[in-house]
Amino acid sequence: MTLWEYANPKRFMDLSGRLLPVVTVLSALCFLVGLMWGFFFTPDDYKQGSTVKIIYLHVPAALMAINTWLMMLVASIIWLVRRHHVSALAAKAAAPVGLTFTVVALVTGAIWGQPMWGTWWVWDPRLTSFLILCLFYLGYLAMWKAVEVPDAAADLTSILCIVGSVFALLSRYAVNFWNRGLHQGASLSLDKQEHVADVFYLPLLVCIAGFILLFFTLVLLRTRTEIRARRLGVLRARERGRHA
Amino acid sequence: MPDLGKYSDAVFTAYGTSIICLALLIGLSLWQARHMKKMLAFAEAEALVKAEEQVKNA
Repeated sequence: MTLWEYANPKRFMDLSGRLLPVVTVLSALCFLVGLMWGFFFTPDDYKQGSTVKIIYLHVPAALMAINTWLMMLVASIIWLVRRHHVSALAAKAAAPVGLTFTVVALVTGAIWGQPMWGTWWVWDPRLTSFLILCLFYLGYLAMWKAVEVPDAAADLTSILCIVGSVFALLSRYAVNFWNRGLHQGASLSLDKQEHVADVFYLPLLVCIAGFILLFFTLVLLRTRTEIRARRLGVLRARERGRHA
Repeated sequence: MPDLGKYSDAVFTAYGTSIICLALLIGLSLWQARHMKKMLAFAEAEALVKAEEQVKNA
C-alpha cells in the first residue's frame, strides 16, 4: 500500500470517511481546552496586560495561514507532476480555510497592535507580506471560479500557488532577515530570549494543536465535497451528451 | 470571568471576530457538504433510473 493509492477518489472517500469523526472530536476538544485554559487560567503579561490572551488565536492562525499555503503548494506540485485529481481538489478545498486563518491573524494582530503599538497597521515587512498572502488567497479562489474547464483551472491555480509561496515563506521569515519593522520575533523559538514565557507556552501549544486539527477536519470535509461536486459535474455532462 | 482591565474591549473584540470567522467557515463547509451529498445522491438515483429504462427499451 503506497500513499499514491489514496489519489484514487474512492479510496480517499473511504479513508476520509473513517478519519473525519476522529479528527472532528479531537479538534473540538483541543480548541475548547486551549482557549478556555488561555482565556481563564493564565495570568496577564507584565508588559502587555490582558492583551497577551490574543496570542492563543493570533499565533496559531498565523502559523496555519502560512502552513495551509505550503500544503497547497505540495498538492499543486503533485497535480502538475502526477496529475492526481484529488491533490488538485485538496488544494482548492484548503484555500478558504487558509484565507480565514489569514483574516483571523490580520484582524487579531490589528486589534492587539492598537493598544500595544498605538496603531492598527504599519507597513512592516511581516504585516505587508501577510496582507499580500491574503490577496493571493483571494486571487487563487477567484481563479478557480473564473476558469470553467476544471483541469485548466487546476493548472493555472497551481502556478499561482507556486508564485504565492514566495510571500508565504517571506511572511514566516521576514522578521528574521529583515531587521526593521514593529513586529517582534517568533513567539515559538528555540532561542530562550525570544521564546514566549512558560506559563503561556502550554495553552498555546494546545491551541496550535486545535488549529492544526481543525485544518485537517475542514480540508477532509471540503475535499470530499469537491470530489462529489466533480462527480456531479461528470454525471451532468454525460446527461447533456445523451441529449445532444 | 477574569479581570481583563483596560484592555477588555480589545480582548473581547479579538475573540469575538475570530470565533465568528471560524464559525462562518465551519457552517459554510458543513452546509456545502450536505447540499452536495444530497444533489449527488439525487443525480445518481436519476441516472440509475434512466439506465434501467434504456435496458428495458433495448
